[in-house]
Amino acid sequence: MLLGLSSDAADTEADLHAVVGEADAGVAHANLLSAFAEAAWRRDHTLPSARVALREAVGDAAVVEAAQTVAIFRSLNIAADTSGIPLDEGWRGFAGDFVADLGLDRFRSAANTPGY
Amino acid sequence: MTDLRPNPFVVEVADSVWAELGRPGAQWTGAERIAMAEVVRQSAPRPLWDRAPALADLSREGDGHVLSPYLRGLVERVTVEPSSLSADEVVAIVAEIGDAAYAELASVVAQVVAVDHQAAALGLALRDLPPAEPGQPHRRRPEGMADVGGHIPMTEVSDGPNVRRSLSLAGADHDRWMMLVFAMYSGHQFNEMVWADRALTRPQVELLAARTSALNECFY
Repeated sequence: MLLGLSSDAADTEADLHAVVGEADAGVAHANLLSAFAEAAWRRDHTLPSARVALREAVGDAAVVEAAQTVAIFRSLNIAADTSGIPLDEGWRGFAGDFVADLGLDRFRSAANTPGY
Repeated sequence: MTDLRPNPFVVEVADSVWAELGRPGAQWTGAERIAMAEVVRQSAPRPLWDRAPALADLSREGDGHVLSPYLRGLVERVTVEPSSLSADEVVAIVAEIGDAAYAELASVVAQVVAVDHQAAALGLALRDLPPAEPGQPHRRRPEGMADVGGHIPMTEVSDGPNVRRSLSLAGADHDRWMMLVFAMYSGHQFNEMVWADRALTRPQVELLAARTSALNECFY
Protein backbone atom coordinates (compact mmCIF):
# COMPACT_ATOMS: atom_id res chain seq x y z
CA MET A 1 0.00 0.00 0.00
CA LEU A 2 2.79 2.42 0.89
CA LEU A 3 4.38 1.71 -2.49
CA GLY A 4 1.21 2.92 -4.15
CA LEU A 5 0.73 5.94 -1.89
CA SER A 6 4.33 7.10 -2.12
CA SER A 7 4.34 6.68 -5.89
CA ASP A 8 1.17 8.75 -6.10
CA ALA A 9 2.87 11.42 -3.99
CA ALA A 10 5.80 11.39 -6.41
CA ASP A 11 3.41 11.75 -9.36
CA THR A 12 4.31 8.32 -10.69
CA GLU A 13 2.14 5.26 -11.09
CA ALA A 14 3.56 2.09 -9.59
CA ASP A 15 2.57 -1.28 -10.97
CA LEU A 16 1.87 -3.24 -7.80
CA HIS A 17 2.36 -6.53 -9.66
CA ALA A 18 6.08 -5.88 -9.09
CA VAL A 19 5.48 -6.89 -5.48
CA VAL A 20 5.01 -10.48 -6.59
CA GLY A 21 7.72 -10.30 -9.23
CA GLU A 22 5.41 -9.97 -12.19
CA ALA A 23 6.19 -6.49 -13.47
CA ASP A 24 8.53 -3.53 -13.47
CA ALA A 25 7.22 -1.36 -10.63
CA GLY A 26 7.64 1.83 -12.59
CA VAL A 27 10.03 3.37 -10.06
CA ALA A 28 13.65 4.12 -10.89
CA HIS A 29 15.89 1.04 -11.01
CA ALA A 30 12.96 -1.17 -10.00
CA ASN A 31 14.34 -4.29 -11.65
CA LEU A 32 17.73 -3.93 -9.96
CA LEU A 33 16.10 -3.26 -6.61
CA SER A 34 13.84 -6.30 -6.94
CA ALA A 35 16.74 -8.49 -8.02
CA PHE A 36 18.73 -7.33 -4.99
CA ALA A 37 15.81 -7.98 -2.62
CA GLU A 38 15.37 -11.47 -4.05
CA ALA A 39 19.08 -12.31 -3.91
CA ALA A 40 19.39 -10.94 -0.38
CA TRP A 41 16.39 -13.02 0.68
CA ARG A 42 17.92 -16.19 -0.79
CA ARG A 43 21.47 -15.29 0.34
CA ASP A 44 22.81 -17.40 -2.50
CA HIS A 45 25.46 -17.04 -5.21
CA THR A 46 23.42 -14.38 -7.03
CA LEU A 47 23.77 -11.86 -4.22
CA PRO A 48 27.25 -10.47 -5.07
CA SER A 49 26.35 -9.77 -8.68
CA ALA A 50 22.98 -8.28 -7.74
CA ARG A 51 24.72 -6.02 -5.23
CA VAL A 52 27.37 -4.92 -7.73
CA ALA A 53 24.76 -4.14 -10.37
CA LEU A 54 22.70 -2.09 -7.93
CA ARG A 55 25.80 -0.33 -6.59
CA GLU A 56 26.87 0.71 -10.08
CA ALA A 57 23.42 2.10 -10.76
CA VAL A 58 22.59 3.92 -7.52
CA GLY A 59 25.80 4.26 -5.50
CA ASP A 60 27.03 3.10 -2.14
CA ALA A 61 24.65 5.02 0.11
CA ALA A 62 21.63 3.70 -1.73
CA VAL A 63 22.89 0.11 -1.59
CA VAL A 64 23.36 0.50 2.15
CA GLU A 65 19.80 1.78 2.48
CA ALA A 66 18.53 -1.07 0.31
CA ALA A 67 20.32 -3.62 2.50
CA GLN A 68 18.95 -2.18 5.72
CA THR A 69 15.46 -2.08 4.21
CA VAL A 70 15.38 -5.73 3.18
CA ALA A 71 16.89 -6.71 6.52
CA ILE A 72 14.44 -4.82 8.68
CA PHE A 73 11.47 -6.01 6.64
CA ARG A 74 12.48 -9.60 7.10
CA SER A 75 12.50 -8.75 10.80
CA LEU A 76 9.19 -6.88 10.65
CA ASN A 77 7.59 -9.87 8.93
CA ILE A 78 8.73 -12.08 11.82
CA ALA A 79 7.17 -9.73 14.36
CA ALA A 80 3.93 -9.45 12.40
CA ASP A 81 3.51 -13.17 11.78
CA THR A 82 4.54 -14.45 15.20
CA SER A 83 2.28 -11.99 17.00
CA GLY A 84 -0.64 -12.32 14.58
CA ILE A 85 -1.32 -8.62 14.60
CA PRO A 86 -4.60 -7.63 13.02
CA LEU A 87 -4.66 -5.61 9.83
CA ASP A 88 -4.73 -1.92 10.59
CA GLU A 89 -8.16 -0.33 10.32
CA GLY A 90 -7.13 2.12 7.64
CA TRP A 91 -5.56 -0.55 5.46
CA ARG A 92 -8.49 -2.94 5.21
CA GLY A 93 -10.20 -1.04 2.44
CA PHE A 94 -7.00 -0.74 0.43
CA ALA A 95 -6.16 -4.40 0.88
CA GLY A 96 -9.43 -5.56 -0.59
CA ASP A 97 -8.63 -3.76 -3.81
CA PHE A 98 -5.42 -5.56 -4.67
CA VAL A 99 -5.16 -8.71 -2.58
CA ALA A 100 -7.05 -10.90 -5.04
CA ASP A 101 -5.50 -9.21 -8.06
CA LEU A 102 -1.98 -9.94 -6.84
CA GLY A 103 -2.84 -13.35 -5.40
CA LEU A 104 -1.73 -12.35 -1.92
CA ASP A 105 -4.59 -14.36 -0.42
CA ARG A 106 -2.63 -17.52 -1.29
CA PHE A 107 -0.10 -16.64 1.42
CA ARG A 108 -0.42 -18.93 4.42
CA SER A 109 -0.27 -15.92 6.69
CA ALA A 110 -3.46 -14.51 5.13
CA ALA A 111 -5.48 -17.05 7.08
CA ASN A 112 -3.50 -16.16 10.22
CA THR A 113 -4.01 -12.41 9.93
CA PRO A 114 -7.01 -11.19 11.94
CA GLY A 115 -9.08 -8.61 10.16
CA TYR A 116 -8.75 -10.11 6.69
CA MET B 1 33.73 -9.21 1.76
CA THR B 2 32.95 -5.76 0.40
CA ASP B 3 34.05 -2.27 1.40
CA LEU B 4 30.50 -1.08 2.00
CA ARG B 5 29.85 0.45 5.40
CA PRO B 6 26.50 0.46 7.20
CA ASN B 7 24.86 3.69 8.24
CA PRO B 8 26.62 4.89 11.45
CA PHE B 9 23.32 5.38 13.30
CA VAL B 10 22.28 1.82 12.43
CA VAL B 11 25.65 0.60 13.73
CA GLU B 12 25.11 2.54 16.96
CA VAL B 13 21.68 1.01 17.51
CA ALA B 14 22.95 -2.47 16.61
CA ASP B 15 25.73 -1.99 19.18
CA SER B 16 23.10 -1.33 21.85
CA VAL B 17 21.14 -4.41 20.76
CA TRP B 18 24.25 -6.56 20.94
CA ALA B 19 25.14 -5.18 24.37
CA GLU B 20 21.92 -6.62 25.78
CA LEU B 21 21.68 -9.79 23.75
CA GLY B 22 23.75 -11.93 26.11
CA ARG B 23 22.27 -10.54 29.31
CA PRO B 24 19.33 -12.14 31.10
CA GLY B 25 16.05 -10.85 29.71
CA ALA B 26 12.59 -10.85 31.20
CA GLN B 27 11.99 -14.56 30.63
CA TRP B 28 15.19 -16.16 29.36
CA THR B 29 18.75 -16.36 30.65
CA GLY B 30 21.67 -14.88 28.78
CA ALA B 31 22.82 -18.35 27.76
CA GLU B 32 19.38 -19.16 26.37
CA ARG B 33 19.24 -15.90 24.42
CA ILE B 34 22.66 -16.49 22.86
CA ALA B 35 21.65 -20.06 22.06
CA MET B 36 18.62 -18.63 20.24
CA ALA B 37 20.92 -16.33 18.24
CA GLU B 38 23.08 -19.31 17.30
CA VAL B 39 20.03 -21.22 16.06
CA VAL B 40 19.00 -18.18 14.01
CA ARG B 41 22.40 -18.29 12.30
CA GLN B 42 22.07 -22.01 11.59
CA SER B 43 18.57 -21.64 10.17
CA ALA B 44 17.97 -21.40 6.46
CA PRO B 45 14.91 -22.09 4.35
CA ARG B 46 14.67 -25.83 3.80
CA PRO B 47 14.10 -27.35 0.37
CA LEU B 48 10.70 -28.86 -0.31
CA TRP B 49 12.02 -32.38 0.29
CA ASP B 50 13.38 -31.51 3.72
CA ARG B 51 10.52 -30.11 5.75
CA ALA B 52 11.11 -29.15 9.36
CA PRO B 53 9.62 -31.64 11.82
CA ALA B 54 6.39 -30.60 13.50
CA LEU B 55 6.96 -28.82 16.77
CA ALA B 56 4.69 -31.31 18.49
CA ASP B 57 7.09 -34.12 17.57
CA LEU B 58 10.20 -32.49 19.04
CA SER B 59 11.54 -33.45 22.45
CA ARG B 60 11.12 -31.11 25.35
CA GLU B 61 13.91 -32.91 27.19
CA GLY B 62 17.46 -31.64 27.32
CA ASP B 63 19.90 -33.22 24.87
CA GLY B 64 23.15 -31.54 25.85
CA HIS B 65 22.30 -28.19 24.23
CA VAL B 66 21.23 -25.07 26.08
CA LEU B 67 17.85 -25.22 24.34
CA SER B 68 15.75 -28.36 23.97
CA PRO B 69 15.03 -29.72 20.48
CA TYR B 70 11.54 -28.22 20.78
CA LEU B 71 12.88 -24.74 21.51
CA ARG B 72 15.50 -25.01 18.76
CA GLY B 73 12.75 -26.05 16.37
CA LEU B 74 10.63 -23.13 17.47
CA VAL B 75 13.47 -20.66 16.89
CA GLU B 76 14.08 -22.14 13.43
CA ARG B 77 10.39 -21.90 12.60
CA VAL B 78 10.17 -18.28 13.75
CA THR B 79 13.31 -17.45 11.78
CA VAL B 80 12.51 -19.01 8.43
CA GLU B 81 8.78 -19.76 8.31
CA PRO B 82 6.96 -17.33 10.59
CA SER B 83 4.16 -16.98 8.06
CA SER B 84 3.20 -20.60 8.67
CA LEU B 85 2.42 -20.09 12.36
CA SER B 86 -1.32 -20.39 12.88
CA ALA B 87 -3.26 -19.01 15.82
CA ASP B 88 -3.87 -22.56 17.06
CA GLU B 89 -0.15 -23.36 16.97
CA VAL B 90 0.67 -20.22 18.90
CA VAL B 91 -1.94 -21.18 21.50
CA ALA B 92 -0.12 -24.50 21.92
CA ILE B 93 3.29 -22.81 22.13
CA VAL B 94 2.04 -20.31 24.68
CA ALA B 95 0.55 -23.13 26.75
CA GLU B 96 4.03 -24.68 26.95
CA ILE B 97 6.36 -21.73 27.44
CA GLY B 98 4.12 -18.76 28.26
CA ASP B 99 3.13 -15.78 26.16
CA ALA B 100 5.85 -13.44 27.44
CA ALA B 101 8.58 -16.04 26.83
CA TYR B 102 7.25 -16.59 23.31
CA ALA B 103 7.25 -12.82 22.68
CA GLU B 104 10.81 -12.47 23.95
CA LEU B 105 11.99 -15.40 21.85
CA ALA B 106 10.43 -13.86 18.73
CA SER B 107 11.89 -10.48 19.63
CA VAL B 108 15.40 -11.89 20.04
CA VAL B 109 15.06 -13.60 16.66
CA ALA B 110 13.77 -10.40 15.06
CA GLN B 111 16.72 -8.38 16.40
CA VAL B 112 19.36 -10.89 15.31
CA VAL B 113 17.78 -11.29 11.87
CA ALA B 114 17.75 -7.52 11.29
CA VAL B 115 21.42 -7.08 12.21
CA ASP B 116 22.71 -10.23 10.53
CA HIS B 117 20.66 -9.93 7.37
CA GLN B 118 21.90 -6.40 6.76
CA ALA B 119 25.50 -7.55 7.08
CA ALA B 120 24.89 -10.47 4.72
CA ALA B 121 23.14 -8.25 2.18
CA LEU B 122 26.12 -5.89 2.19
CA GLY B 123 28.60 -8.74 1.89
CA LEU B 124 30.07 -8.12 5.34
CA ALA B 125 31.10 -10.57 8.05
CA LEU B 126 28.52 -11.21 10.76
CA ARG B 127 29.25 -9.70 14.17
CA ASP B 128 30.59 -12.05 16.79
CA LEU B 129 27.85 -12.96 19.21
CA PRO B 130 28.41 -11.49 22.68
CA PRO B 131 29.20 -13.80 25.57
CA ALA B 132 26.34 -15.03 27.68
CA GLU B 133 26.25 -13.26 31.02
CA PRO B 134 25.20 -14.95 34.27
CA GLY B 135 22.02 -14.19 36.12
CA GLN B 136 18.35 -14.99 36.06
CA PRO B 137 15.53 -13.39 34.07
CA HIS B 138 13.63 -10.76 36.05
CA ARG B 139 10.17 -12.17 35.13
CA ARG B 140 8.47 -8.78 35.13
CA ARG B 141 5.59 -8.46 32.72
CA PRO B 142 5.01 -5.14 30.94
CA GLU B 143 1.91 -3.26 32.05
CA GLY B 144 -0.95 -2.28 29.78
CA MET B 145 -1.08 -5.51 27.77
CA ALA B 146 -4.47 -6.51 26.35
CA ASP B 147 -6.06 -8.86 23.85
CA VAL B 148 -6.41 -6.76 20.70
CA GLY B 149 -7.20 -9.68 18.42
CA GLY B 150 -3.69 -10.99 17.77
CA HIS B 151 -2.11 -14.28 18.78
CA ILE B 152 -0.66 -12.78 21.96
CA PRO B 153 -1.46 -9.78 24.18
CA MET B 154 0.08 -6.45 23.25
CA THR B 155 -0.26 -2.82 24.26
CA GLU B 156 -3.88 -1.81 24.28
CA VAL B 157 -3.19 1.61 22.83
CA SER B 158 -1.30 1.94 19.55
CA ASP B 159 0.21 5.15 18.24
CA GLY B 160 0.86 3.86 14.76
CA PRO B 161 0.60 0.73 12.63
CA ASN B 162 -0.20 -2.41 14.59
CA VAL B 163 3.26 -3.84 13.90
CA ARG B 164 4.65 -1.18 16.25
CA ARG B 165 3.02 -2.98 19.18
CA SER B 166 3.35 -6.52 17.83
CA LEU B 167 5.89 -7.85 20.35
CA SER B 168 5.37 -5.23 23.05
CA LEU B 169 4.87 -8.08 25.52
CA ALA B 170 8.64 -8.54 25.22
CA GLY B 171 9.18 -5.21 26.97
CA ALA B 172 12.74 -3.90 26.64
CA ASP B 173 13.55 -6.31 23.81
CA HIS B 174 10.63 -4.92 21.85
CA ASP B 175 11.83 -1.38 22.53
CA ARG B 176 15.31 -2.21 21.23
CA TRP B 177 13.85 -3.88 18.17
CA MET B 178 11.75 -0.77 17.51
CA MET B 179 14.93 1.30 17.64
CA LEU B 180 16.28 -0.90 14.85
CA VAL B 181 13.08 -0.28 12.89
CA PHE B 182 13.48 3.46 13.44
CA ALA B 183 17.14 3.47 12.40
CA MET B 184 16.81 1.13 9.44
CA TYR B 185 13.48 2.24 8.00
CA SER B 186 10.96 4.62 9.47
CA GLY B 187 13.07 7.42 10.95
CA HIS B 188 11.16 10.59 11.66
CA GLN B 189 9.54 10.51 8.21
CA PHE B 190 7.30 7.47 8.27
CA ASN B 191 4.17 9.52 7.68
CA GLU B 192 5.79 11.48 4.84
CA MET B 193 5.22 9.93 1.42
CA VAL B 194 8.11 11.85 -0.14
CA TRP B 195 11.60 11.34 1.31
CA ALA B 196 13.88 14.02 -0.05
CA ASP B 197 17.00 13.52 2.06
CA ARG B 198 17.53 9.77 1.79
CA ALA B 199 19.64 7.85 -0.69
CA LEU B 200 16.57 6.04 -2.02
CA THR B 201 13.18 7.55 -2.77
CA ARG B 202 10.17 6.42 -0.72
CA PRO B 203 8.74 4.35 -3.61
CA GLN B 204 12.11 2.60 -4.03
CA VAL B 205 12.23 1.76 -0.32
CA GLU B 206 8.61 0.56 -0.37
CA LEU B 207 9.30 -1.62 -3.41
CA LEU B 208 12.14 -3.33 -1.51
CA ALA B 209 9.87 -3.65 1.54
CA ALA B 210 6.93 -5.07 -0.38
CA ARG B 211 9.04 -7.47 -2.45
CA THR B 212 10.75 -8.78 0.70
CA SER B 213 7.41 -9.20 2.47
CA ALA B 214 6.00 -11.07 -0.52
CA LEU B 215 8.99 -13.42 -0.56
CA ASN B 216 8.35 -14.03 3.13
CA GLU B 217 4.66 -14.56 2.33
CA CYS B 218 3.83 -12.02 5.00
CA PHE B 219 0.23 -11.00 4.38
CA TYR B 220 0.22 -8.16 6.91
